[in-house]
Amino acid sequence: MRTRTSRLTIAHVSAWALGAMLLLFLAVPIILLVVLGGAGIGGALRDHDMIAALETTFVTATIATFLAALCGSPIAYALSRAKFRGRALIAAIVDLPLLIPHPVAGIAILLLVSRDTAFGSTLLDMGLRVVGTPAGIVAAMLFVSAPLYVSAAREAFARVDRRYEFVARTLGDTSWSAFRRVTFPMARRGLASAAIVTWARAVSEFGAVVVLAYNPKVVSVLSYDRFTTGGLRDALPIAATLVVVSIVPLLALRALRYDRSNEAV
Amino acid sequence: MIECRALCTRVGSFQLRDVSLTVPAGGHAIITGPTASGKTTLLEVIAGAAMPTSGHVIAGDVDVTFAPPESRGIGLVPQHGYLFPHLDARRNIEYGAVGQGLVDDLARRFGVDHLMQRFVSSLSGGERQIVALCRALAARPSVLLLDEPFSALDATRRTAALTEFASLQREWAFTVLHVTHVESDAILATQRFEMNDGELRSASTAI
Repeated sequence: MRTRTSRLTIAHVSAWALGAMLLLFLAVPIILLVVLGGAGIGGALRDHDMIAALETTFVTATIATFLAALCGSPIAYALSRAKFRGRALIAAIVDLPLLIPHPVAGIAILLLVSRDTAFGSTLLDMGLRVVGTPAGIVAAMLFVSAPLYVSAAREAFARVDRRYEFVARTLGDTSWSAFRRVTFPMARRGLASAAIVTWARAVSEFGAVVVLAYNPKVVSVLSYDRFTTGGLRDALPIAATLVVVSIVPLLALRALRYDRSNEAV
Repeated sequence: MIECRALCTRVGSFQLRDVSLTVPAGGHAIITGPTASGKTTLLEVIAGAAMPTSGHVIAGDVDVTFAPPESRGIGLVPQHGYLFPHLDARRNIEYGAVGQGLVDDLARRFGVDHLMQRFVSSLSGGERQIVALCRALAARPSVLLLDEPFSALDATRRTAALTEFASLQREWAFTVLHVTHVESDAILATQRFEMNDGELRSASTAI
């Protein structure tokens, strides 16, 4: 009995120790970055390149998030509700960008939009240049972050019991108005969380963006640029600013989740 | 009037088999039976939440078997109410209401007028059931399906709600199909059916 208790204690301590090691590994580099680079954030925010990069990053990430929500919500709803042939294939396609390295994702998009392809030349004919423009940044951000939106939105819709929609329909709603009046409001916190995660992912994207548009620079590309030209000292304030900017939406997300977990239904 | 003609459906491994019943206009039919006998599934097929594999559902003189739920004129009070949690009690009752005066009248008659500003999360189980009943009634359906609508009410409130409901049904002359486990609910019945293992095993006409 005593031996069994000792084994349990050892197991508990080992589990906690392993978990704590991972937590430290995840948190310490970020804390170090903010602590060591924190003093330079003020200076970075007066740097014209940094201000331009922040503006580009926020605008393109917001557009990418809007597009992910606009186009991803119907897919998320269909995956959470409907049973149809090809459902598994659609789910796999949506997850695909999560499985490939981000520079490879950038190369794949580059293949699609380059002037050598019919699609790319059509875009150019329409006056829409993707490579080396904010449109390219949006495309790269959308590609890598949309799967996160669809996955989280699907979960948000799935949490709304479909019987609510059915009751709304017995009260005279069409399927669209039942969605608008019942499902969407009930899923809105989950959808907002999904959008925040998507935005944060878009803001921090580097690999796909750098392939499609080295310029105009987003913050992640600027920090890499400063690192390669000026070393750690130059890159640190930029990197610290990016981390602080990424932490704000995550804190907002936590607040939303906390709000939801305290809401009795 | 509501009529089911040889209604069959399948939900997973459960089957509803050859269910036929007719409740005349203004009638109140009670359906009893053990748990998982198919009572709720039958109501869902009649209301349009589930499609039958064969058979017909007739509401009034219209075959509504494949009609969307919103055009059947059939209301439903589900077992757990399913009040919309993002709305307060008033806006729940108003949801499909045909008139504002009706909302206040129903709330007063069923004794929930003092709860109108309260959100669903702050209502008791019994209060939720009464608000759900008012919400369904406010849409003035010609047929109302009730699935254990008074199960969370104490004896006193249950009697009061049953009495008010019976009075309203006499006034409005709508047709009711009422699933219940509680024997005292049979006081409202003009007909009685019993379901077992997906079949309507026996039927009798009360009073």
